[in-house]
Amino acid sequence: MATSNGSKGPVRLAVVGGRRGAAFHKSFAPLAGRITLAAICDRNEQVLQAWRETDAEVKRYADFAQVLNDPDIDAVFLATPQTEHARQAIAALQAGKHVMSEVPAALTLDECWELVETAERTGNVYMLAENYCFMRENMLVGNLARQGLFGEITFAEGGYIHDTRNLTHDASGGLTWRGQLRHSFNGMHYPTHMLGPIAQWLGINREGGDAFDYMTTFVSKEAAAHVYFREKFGERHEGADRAFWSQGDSAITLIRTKNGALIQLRLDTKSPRPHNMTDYGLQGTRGAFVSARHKEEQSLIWLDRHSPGSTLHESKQAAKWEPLLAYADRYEHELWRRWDSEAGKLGHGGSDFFILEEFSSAILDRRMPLIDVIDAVTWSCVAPLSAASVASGGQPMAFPDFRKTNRANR
Amino acid sequence: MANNDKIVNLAVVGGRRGSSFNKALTALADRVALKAVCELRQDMLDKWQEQFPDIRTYTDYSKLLEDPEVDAVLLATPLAMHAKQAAAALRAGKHVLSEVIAAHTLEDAWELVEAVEQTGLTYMMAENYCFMRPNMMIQNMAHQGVFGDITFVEGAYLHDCRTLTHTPDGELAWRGELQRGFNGMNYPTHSLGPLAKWIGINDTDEFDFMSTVTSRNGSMPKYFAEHFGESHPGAQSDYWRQGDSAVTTIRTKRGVVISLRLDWVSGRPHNMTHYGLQGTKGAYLAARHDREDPLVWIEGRSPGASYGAKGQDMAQWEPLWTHREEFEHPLWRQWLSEAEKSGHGGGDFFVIDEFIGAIREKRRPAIDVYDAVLWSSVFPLSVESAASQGKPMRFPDFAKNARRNG
Repeated sequence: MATSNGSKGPVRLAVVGGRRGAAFHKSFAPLAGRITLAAICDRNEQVLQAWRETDAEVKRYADFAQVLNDPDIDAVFLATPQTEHARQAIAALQAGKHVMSEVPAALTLDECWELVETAERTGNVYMLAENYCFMRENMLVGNLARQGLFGEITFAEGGYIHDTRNLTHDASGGLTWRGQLRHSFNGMHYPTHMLGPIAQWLGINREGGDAFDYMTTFVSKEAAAHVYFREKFGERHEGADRAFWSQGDSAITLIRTKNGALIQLRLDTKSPRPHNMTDYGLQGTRGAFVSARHKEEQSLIWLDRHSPGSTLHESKQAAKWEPLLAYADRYEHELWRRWDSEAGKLGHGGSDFFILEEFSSAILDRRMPLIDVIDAVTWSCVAPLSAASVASGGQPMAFPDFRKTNRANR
Repeated sequence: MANNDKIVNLAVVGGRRGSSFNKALTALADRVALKAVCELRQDMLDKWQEQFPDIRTYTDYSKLLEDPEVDAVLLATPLAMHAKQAAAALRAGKHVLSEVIAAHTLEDAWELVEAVEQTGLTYMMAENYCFMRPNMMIQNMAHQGVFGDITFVEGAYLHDCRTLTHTPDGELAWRGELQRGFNGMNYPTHSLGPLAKWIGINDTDEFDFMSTVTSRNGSMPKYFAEHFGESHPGAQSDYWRQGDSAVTTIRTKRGVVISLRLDWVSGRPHNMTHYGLQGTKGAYLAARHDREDPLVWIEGRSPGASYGAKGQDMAQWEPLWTHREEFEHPLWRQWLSEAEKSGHGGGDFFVIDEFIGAIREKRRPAIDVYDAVLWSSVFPLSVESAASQGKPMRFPDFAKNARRNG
């Protein structure tokens, strides 16, 4: 069954984790004939019931093992807690299913290696659903970068700053997986939304591109979670004690690539602040990009010899930023040219549509997906490496080379 | 209090940068008088003398230090000379206002501390960015607890200064020598100074350890090749040690993380203030360019809620200036018109004002020698860290004698 689907299509997909999966619902319609929603798997009966009402023909499973045993399922989309992604992906690949996993791919280095080995051994398609890579502006910047408009890129930064404290607990104060993770883990635990797009701009893991060399991580003290739990659930809740939380509020990771580019990542999932989904920057020898601070603002770009003014002091006119989208006519990514009318209507800035489109295309065309298993673990391993760096007072950590075929050669 | 009504006689050392303090000196003429200028270039001295016929001119710094009518020196000289010149001035009985950075080696930093402690004279670092209007307003808000418990602050100095790295015929100026000789966070105080003041470093908190990672260089060889041809040695990448971008992360003893970024060679529109802050009750974000407002969001004051409770609007940034009536720093309330007329967003005015005030009132200046050497020590520590893949480095305890003596 593993690759029997071949180019016949459509790919019969099971969504595992019905809540996040629901956000993808609209994305199936424009892809009819290539991928269909065949099953939903969720432990929560209420979530399944909701699907019964909207999609009566979709199979419903409460047990992941049964999905893997169903011969009429070609592929699974893991929209489950991040602590489960790697184990479920490995099991699904072994059961002959193609896998698209929500981010990150894994939380330990052992899981990263096992995932690579399993994907390579089974030959099934594995893709990381890093939807931020497909956002319009990120793809536009990627096009500009690949065509050399920024010159040599020396610096890139990304931030994921999103107060999700209300998702760390249920209504009665019990910890969800997000809460459990922040209780037990301290580091850059959610790296791929920032790192994925940046890695693509720099051509990480690509022929003639670049590779991560080493990284360090610093994390601040915990301050925002225990105050929140105290206010919400009272002094006697375990979360009202600062010491209960391992994860500090702000984490900073610095990565240096083998070609000498510097990457800065920032993560803060609990401090109060207006949410901004895209928080990126880039500097090259011929120009710079900085994203909008909020929805009413434009992302800005300055390109030597394209944008007005000069940065050199003798120039009569000082350099001035331009809106990034002034370059959309000439440099829009071809995926966005082709699908703009569909993607613009759909979730997460259109990117949910693109990951589904890309995953089904990779299966039907029998090719590697744009975000393959090596990318997935290279980006995701920042989490375990960051925890080791933080625990040792900010010591630098070398990246494993997951492209080596086995662990002994790393 | 004896000196309170005495005018401080100041000598400017380094005529080029020194000249940009002219407006500030004029505005403060009732308390400070320009007495002398020391500068190696005679043509520059002539210009000063044209503008100020009564001043004395020196080409030899040691001669200046022998002038009994000079009370204080303003060191506006190349960065690597500051510490030695400051220590010599203190030993000669002069108060010192030093341009940034205060010292570029740990040995120089300790020597400077010792000179200040032994002479008891006023030493201040002229970190003008600390006095900029939004920075002082944020400091005021931070000290009043508006942002709650602060966990993260960031600052960047992003300014294409490549034209200042060389003379017209391609010889290296001091900024060029700096790019050639070191790789690290070689200009940390414009970004770090305001942040240190916001979070009470050397007051309620201390730096613990730091790490620096730099990128490769690209912009300097490209620029030198384009301006002086491929045969100029600066057209080669390995001629320059400094990478284009440097990022330093600092952790304080109370667990605040500080992020600093430096890039003074890449092409990019200049933005003088590039800062951010996150606390448990709110956040601050500087403008990206001078036609934007700095933004602030404070729980309970600003519109919306941070996490998505049902029926609540999403949190929305406000211009920082919305809260000006309440939180403008007292110094800016007092001196607004004078400050806005002088250079560097008012910073130059307040630097002189504070230095003169500290001398006349015999008190510690707002940026004393312990602040100066601590912030500046990021330079030597970063060079060592960057050379060993970002190895964490501990901060020296420069203020140990000050604490022991109460």
